[in-house]
Amino acid sequence: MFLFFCPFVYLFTIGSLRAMDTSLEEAARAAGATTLQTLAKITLPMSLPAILAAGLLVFILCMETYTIPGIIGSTAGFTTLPWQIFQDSSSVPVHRAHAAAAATLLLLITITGVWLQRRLTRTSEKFVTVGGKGFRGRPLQLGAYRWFATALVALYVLAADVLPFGALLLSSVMKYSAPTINAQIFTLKHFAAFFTTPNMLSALWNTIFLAVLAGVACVAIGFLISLLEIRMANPATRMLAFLSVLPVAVPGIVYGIGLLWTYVQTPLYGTIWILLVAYVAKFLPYGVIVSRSGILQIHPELEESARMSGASPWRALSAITIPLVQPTLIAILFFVVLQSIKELSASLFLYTENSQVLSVLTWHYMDAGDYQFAAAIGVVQTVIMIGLVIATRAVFRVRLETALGKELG
Amino acid sequence: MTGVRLENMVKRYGSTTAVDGIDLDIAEGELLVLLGPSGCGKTTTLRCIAGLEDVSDGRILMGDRVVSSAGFSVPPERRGIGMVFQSYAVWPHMTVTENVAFGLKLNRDIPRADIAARVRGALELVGLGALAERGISQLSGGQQQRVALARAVVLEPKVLLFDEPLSNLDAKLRERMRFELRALQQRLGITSIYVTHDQQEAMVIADRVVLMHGGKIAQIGSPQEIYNRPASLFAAEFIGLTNAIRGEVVSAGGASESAHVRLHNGLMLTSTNTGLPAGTAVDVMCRPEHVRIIPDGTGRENSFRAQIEESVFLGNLSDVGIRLGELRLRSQVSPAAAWPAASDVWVQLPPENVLLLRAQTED
Repeated sequence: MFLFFCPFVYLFTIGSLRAMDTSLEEAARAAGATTLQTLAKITLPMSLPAILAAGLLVFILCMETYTIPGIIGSTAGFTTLPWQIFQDSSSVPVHRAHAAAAATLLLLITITGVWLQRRLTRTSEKFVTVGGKGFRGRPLQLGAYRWFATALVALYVLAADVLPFGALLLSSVMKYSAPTINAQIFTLKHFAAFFTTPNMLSALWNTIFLAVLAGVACVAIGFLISLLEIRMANPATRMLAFLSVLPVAVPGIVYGIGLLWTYVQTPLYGTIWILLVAYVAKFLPYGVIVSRSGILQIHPELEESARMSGASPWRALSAITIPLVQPTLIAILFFVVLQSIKELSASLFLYTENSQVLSVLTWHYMDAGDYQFAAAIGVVQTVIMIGLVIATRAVFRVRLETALGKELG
Repeated sequence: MTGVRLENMVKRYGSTTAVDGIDLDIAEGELLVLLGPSGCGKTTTLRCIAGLEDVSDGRILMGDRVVSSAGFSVPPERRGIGMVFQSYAVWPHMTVTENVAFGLKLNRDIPRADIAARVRGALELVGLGALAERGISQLSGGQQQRVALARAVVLEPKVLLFDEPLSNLDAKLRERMRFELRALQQRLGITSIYVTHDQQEAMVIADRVVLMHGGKIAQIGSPQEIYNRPASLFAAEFIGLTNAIRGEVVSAGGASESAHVRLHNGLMLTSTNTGLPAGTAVDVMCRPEHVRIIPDGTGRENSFRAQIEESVFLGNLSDVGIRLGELRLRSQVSPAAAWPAASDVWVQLPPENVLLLRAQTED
């Protein structure tokens, strides 16, 4: 879990750290503080709101995650609330009421978390350290600690990226799970099978289709909601923005059950559209929050000056505002696309035979003990995601982590 | 060219009233400055004229045409107004030329060749001819504001609005740009309304100054009029420096006779500012440059023995703190001279420079 969520904390805090005026730190140094003292007395307290907010967000995300504790925890002999809900509602005998009660409890916990998180980020606005003026941050000189820090980072990369992905890659090319590794057990048959199983190809197609559609929808709707909230501030638009962000507090699993029990009687059930509804609702908050801070960075006078130059409101939006927030919008698009490809907690409840997605299939093969085939799907998923990240960087010259970090932080 | 007219214009935001019923007539080709402290309603007034805000009551006319009234507003893009913003508001994703050409390209009636020529003309006008192809981020603050200016004038607007256009520039550049803006406006002869909180800027630029306070007009007049004959203590203190002392009129004076006033510490002063009836509570006002320090004032009007408290050398003048009994006066002496602290001197407040302003109870 630590390894899985570390990137989020990075994304959330780098923005505020980068935005912090280094002259504040320099002032501390000038007042006689050592590097370490400066870090402890100035940098840390000032970024505390962002760090706490990130911590709470991870707390909420952990609350709703049952895949990792599900796979590892059930074998390691402990259980978590989300996993329990999943068991109650999907394994025979089904304890519907039990699951609903547990889900409500989970919802309460996460809503409390979100409320706390909002409180904390609100106070963080009091420390507006971000000036409009450009300044250049000075990287910290680590001196002799450099090797220690490098080793720590290397260890993290090893534990978080290299080992799991290496293991994944390795098991995807093995015929069966084997304690020893020799040349005979290597095979590419899982990948071959992947591309020949019709089920698999439709799942791949569904995954990509859903991810792209959800991404586009979240960008468009999120941008629109934020635009309305900021540029036409009134109680109605604020309410709309608040409502659209609310699903952030709803764990995916609770959301999935809710949607399932709501839509099971409608024609939507059993199609991939219900998955689309779930993805859009689940990731729209990110679209709203991130585009909100993107728009807030655009001085309203930039639009107004376009109006004064003779542009209609629509023209001012399309010629000035949208091009200026474009990097943010693209960052949202890819964030949602990536998250949708990974999405499992809600999908698991909503998929049917006609609407398979890769993440669910991986899960099933895993559950059935076919780790090698699951690993092969995992590799395909990972390759798609890495490909997307690289493509964004290359095509749009947007550094995903920078853009998101800036906006979320 | 068109004049602009505001009739009892009111702007409310919820329960707060930002602009509380102002009337203004801006003549064709005039450069009018809206001056006042922050929150006085000057920027709101300007934004209403631009059409960026709706008015809550009253009307705004351009020429004979009503452009704003309660519940009605011609959108900003159809008013034929150019505007220069405080933040420059130049578009960072466009080059200098693209910024200036933006408005021209929106108008399909203008041929391409004309666009290029007019952009070049506008850039020459603001002294940026050589930087036409630069990106905005490669320009300094002053250059960016020139781009904004070129962008506003290239459309040949009937009215030009300035919203504190120089306040983001450094002091030296600001001073130079004041004269440039004034010269440019005179050359083009465009009716202009200019918002600032900087009284010196207002003095340099304005044909007429409208001093605003709490959403209302405190005084309208030329810079000289407001400086020499402020209508209120607020006007006196906002424009320039002043000594202000509470007092009461003893005799009103008349055509050939000066007025007399007793200061709150009992001192009697003579003033040529006649007409207020005896018994009126007043603020007695005298600008520091009129407080004279003389070697011997025996027998002169409004002359008193006093003591130097401190004397600060400011280059072109000396700023001197003077103690007169329990009163403290500020004097500015030019050319600069120096007095040792605690030295005994005489001060004189010439009667023609002693102004009597009816005391406002709220202040």
